This record gives sequence, structure tokens and C-alpha cells, in this order.
Amino acid sequence: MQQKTIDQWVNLYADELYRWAIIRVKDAHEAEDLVQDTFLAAYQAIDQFKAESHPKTWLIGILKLKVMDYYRRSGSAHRPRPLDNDQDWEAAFFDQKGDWQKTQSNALPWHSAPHLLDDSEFLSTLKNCLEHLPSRLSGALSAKYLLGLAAKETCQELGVTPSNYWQLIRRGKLSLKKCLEKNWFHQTQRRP
Amino acid sequence: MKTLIYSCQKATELVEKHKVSGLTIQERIRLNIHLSMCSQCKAYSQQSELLEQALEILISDQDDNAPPTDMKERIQKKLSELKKKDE
Repeated sequence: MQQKTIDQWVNLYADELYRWAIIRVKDAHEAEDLVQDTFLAAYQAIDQFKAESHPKTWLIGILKLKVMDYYRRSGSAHRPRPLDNDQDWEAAFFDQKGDWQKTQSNALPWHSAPHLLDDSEFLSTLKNCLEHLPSRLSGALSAKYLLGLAAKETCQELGVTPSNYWQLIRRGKLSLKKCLEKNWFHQTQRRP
Repeated sequence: MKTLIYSCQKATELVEKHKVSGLTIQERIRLNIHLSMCSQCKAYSQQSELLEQALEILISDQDDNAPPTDMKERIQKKLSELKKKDE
């Protein structure tokens, strides 16, 4: 009986749990192991499952602990850090008065290039940029777009306040913008 | 006068805050004033919007993050093994 329930849950929720895990650990094998461990732990702890809670919420809760364990095991390399209030980060984009740095060629009107969203080269550059973001920033962007989570849910999941959250989104976008300007816009400019 | 106007740094923050949790009327007015005067922040605001759309397309297209097709079978096999041990 218990295994039947868990088997059903595997069918219903394993894919979603996997997507949740892969954006956090960025390794397919590790993500699958974490999902598997989650179901094994769920099977053993099924008595603690309360019928009024949603199975997916309960499973995600277990998976979250597994991911934390993984961060602990693998050292600090993958662990999202709290948002630094770092002047250094901002200084790459803004001067002390809060004006755009001259080195940021913000007048670049790449956003008005025609049919940008149909341009596979643009999208693949963006994808590459996204992969190179620090995990904290890509995590915030992924939680929003990949999992379609509402802001409140995303904040809970990432353990940040709403103001930290839009800061993360902002920094993620600023980094993507910089990366696109360097790797896409300049490359596609026709040079004399 | 300039002190009444947001810095570009602040303006980019409010562009994102607007999308996440909304702005107060005062914030909205001050942001709009800034954007009407500052082409760089206006560009940022348009780029921010475009990035949202591009990320959505990118993520709905990509199958790199797709779960392995035989993952469920492997998990169910492990569960059966665990169950046998219990019996």
C-alpha cells in the first residue's frame, strides 16, 4: 500500500523534483541521486506525511534538506551565499554617484535589433551567459522563469526577503546584459 | 534638483522592484521622471523586459534540464529493493 502510493508519486512528481534539483546542483547525476534519495526517505517516513498536506510540497521539503546536505558535502563551491552588500559588485556597473560607468556601453541599443527573440544565435548566447552566472543569481532567475514561481514563493524557497529578491533579479539581469553586450552585440556589429 | 531625482543605480533597482512587488505612487512618479530624462536607464528598462521574454522562451525550449527518461524506473526499482529489505 505504502509503496504503491510512493510509486504513484514517483510518476507524478519525479520530473518536477528533478527540474527543481538540477538548477541547484547543475549536475544531472547528482540531481537524479537527490531525487531518488528523496523518494527513499519519503517511503521510510511515510507515517509522518499528513493527509492534509500536498504530497508535492512534502516531497520538495525533503528534497530541500537533501540539497542542503549536498551543499554541505561538496563544500562551499555550490552553496548560494547571502546577498553581499558589496560596493565592488555595483562598482563594475555604477560609479560612486550611482551613474552608469563609462565602461558600460549602455547606449548600445541591442534591444531594438529586429526579431531578436526569433534569433537563435542571440538565444544561444543568452543561454551561455545564463550558465556562467553565479548560482545565486541564476537560481533566482531560474526559480522565476523555469519553475514559474510567484515572487512570494520564490523568496521563501531561496530564503531571501522580497527586496533581496528583486536585487538578485536585477543583478542577474545586469550580468546578462553585460555578457550579451560583450559576446553578442559586439560580435555581430559590422566592422569597417 | 538633481537630488530629487533617482540615481541610475536606484532607478535600475526600482525597474525590477516594480515587476516583483510594485511601486508606491511616489516611487513610480520619480522613476518615470528619471526614465524620461535618462536614455541609458530607459534602455535598461527595455532590455530588462526583453530579457524576461527571452528567458521564458529559452527555458521553455531547452531540454538540457529535462529529466532522464528512465529515471522513474530506476527510482521505482530502488524502492522495491528497499521494500524487500523491510519484509
